Amino acid sequence: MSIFILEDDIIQAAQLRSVVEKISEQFQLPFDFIHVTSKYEEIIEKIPLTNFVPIYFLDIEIKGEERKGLQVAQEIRKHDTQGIIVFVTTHANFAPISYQYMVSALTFIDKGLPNDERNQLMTQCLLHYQALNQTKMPTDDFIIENRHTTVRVPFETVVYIMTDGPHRLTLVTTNRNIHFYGTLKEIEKIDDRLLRCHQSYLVNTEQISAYDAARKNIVLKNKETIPVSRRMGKTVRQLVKGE
Amino acid sequence: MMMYVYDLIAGVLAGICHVVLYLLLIRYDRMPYKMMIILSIVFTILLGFVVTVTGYPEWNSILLLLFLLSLGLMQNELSFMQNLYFALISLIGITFARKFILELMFQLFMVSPFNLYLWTTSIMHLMIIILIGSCIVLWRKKIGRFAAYIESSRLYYISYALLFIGFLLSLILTTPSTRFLAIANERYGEMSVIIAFILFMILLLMAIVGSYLAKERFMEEQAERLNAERLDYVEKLEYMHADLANFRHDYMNILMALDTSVKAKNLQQIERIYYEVIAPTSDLMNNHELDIVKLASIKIPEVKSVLSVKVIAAQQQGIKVMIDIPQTIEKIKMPIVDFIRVISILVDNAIEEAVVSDEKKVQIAFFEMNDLVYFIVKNSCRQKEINLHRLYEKRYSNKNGRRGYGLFSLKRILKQMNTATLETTFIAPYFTQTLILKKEN
Repeated sequence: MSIFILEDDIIQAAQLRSVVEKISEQFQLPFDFIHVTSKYEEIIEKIPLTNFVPIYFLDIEIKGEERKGLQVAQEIRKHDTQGIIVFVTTHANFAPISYQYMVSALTFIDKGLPNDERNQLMTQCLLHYQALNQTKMPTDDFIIENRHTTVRVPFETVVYIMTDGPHRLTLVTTNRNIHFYGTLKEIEKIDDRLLRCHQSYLVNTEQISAYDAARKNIVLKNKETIPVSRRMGKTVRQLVKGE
Repeated sequence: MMMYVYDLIAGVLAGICHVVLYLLLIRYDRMPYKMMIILSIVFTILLGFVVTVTGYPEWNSILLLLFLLSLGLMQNELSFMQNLYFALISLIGITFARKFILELMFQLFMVSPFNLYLWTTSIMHLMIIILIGSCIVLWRKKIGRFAAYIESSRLYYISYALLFIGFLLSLILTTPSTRFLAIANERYGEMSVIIAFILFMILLLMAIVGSYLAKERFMEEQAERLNAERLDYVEKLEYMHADLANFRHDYMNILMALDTSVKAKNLQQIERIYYEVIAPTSDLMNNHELDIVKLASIKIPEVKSVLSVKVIAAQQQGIKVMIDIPQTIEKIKMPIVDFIRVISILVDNAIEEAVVSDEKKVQIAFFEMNDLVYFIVKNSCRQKEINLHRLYEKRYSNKNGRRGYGLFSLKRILKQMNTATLETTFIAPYFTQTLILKKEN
């Protein structure tokens, strides 16, 4: 692991460092170096020296500038698109959403939290980081990109896509609904795991749990049902049987 | 032979005109064009068939009326009587307009030196219907505004009665085959034409006056709304100012208390004052009350004023509002009025829900990234579970039947904006709506 900590308060910096070291020891996470600094230029300089994809703990407010941390993160992103960025802040419970989007920050840790909770959060971050470094999982994102929209979600969360008015689609994922401009015809081609089970439905075959032949419905893993056209009944049945 | 083709085209176009005008009047904008055209063609053919087979031309008007009414059932914001009213306008307006313009053109033609052929009237018919159709398309916005106005104006009942008479006249004037109507046609035919003409002129006059008044009222309402917003804004500013003055007053007191203690070198007292009086003010500093200043990064005055009014109103209701606008925002690639409507709905909903939740938090983020503009509203919720699908249904509302039109109309506005994407997420206890606008290149 390669760890960077950006913190201008000496006491807090030392504290963070000791916490990280303690956690690494406890979970036997090996790290090749840990760098604590109050100058972000040092971090940028040292990025090329890292052996692993680094994890960064950044204080959002550096030297009284509220947005400094964000600028630093953006600077880091120019050199390192993969590293994990964790913001450490005084008011994390409602942390700026824009950070998550702009520098794809992993999470926010509140300085004001009781030590136990804070350590737990730090542990989660480090373990997540470790897992990512070991497996190097290829990201399986489902991306819809056309003149009117850009939608990107992890494929495993896609449940189904349905038409919702002329040229309007709704993508239903496990925890969100996305309403956008597009046609099923164009989406159908993106991924083989999608099945056009009905004129206005495109289902992620990995989300099907059963086929209700009497009602001509697909029952999904989340208990919702979607219709199946007469023509596709057989295909769906075979699919569910695993043929 | 060509003549029949012209007639057929004119008939189909007339059908489309009726349908389009009616849909504009009832403000139903979700019908795809293809569907509308196919429906009109099928209906016109059906009508022609029914009239030839039965030999009763009066079916023309009656069936058309019924057809329009059945279309009106799709729009259930209006009552049956209102639907009937608009169907009558569409029916009478276009039928009479066709009739009288044709008459006029024919008279003019007779004076002109051109030869009269069998197909002349057919061509005229076609030209007239194209003219009417283009007028409807050209004035589509005005028609919608007019319809909204006429519903609640005094002209409504008068014109209703006139339309009804017009409908009867149109039945008489179609060279009917029902015995009663045929007699009426024979006896009062000429008079009916005159009455119909007068009636048409009166209705036309009403339409012109009505559309003028509608425009007037529209402007008035807009001015009023702007005024109210401005007043609201000033009021909120005063409130904030009072808050600040309060704080200053408290602060002076604290300083004075400290001053005496320091002079007396009473460390215990200083400590006490620090913990009891000064330390709690850090809460005050951190509670984002002053976040509203961040709205200054928005360089679009309308958006800024709408957001600040809503944010201050939320703060007055005890909601913690956090604003997250990292960079200046110069402009939005979308009609500003629509954008304001959309964000108003999003923010209003968030505030309404946050008020009744435990945490009482609302977060608003507004930023640009690459070629996308994000407007995100996140709020704490009372519910543990929300059915994301049902949220957008017309009458569904999480708010105990009080409303439920907000999200529905949101979707309706978004229908017209191809580059808008709306993401709805619920991860308990936070509900998040993300509006993403893509810059077209």
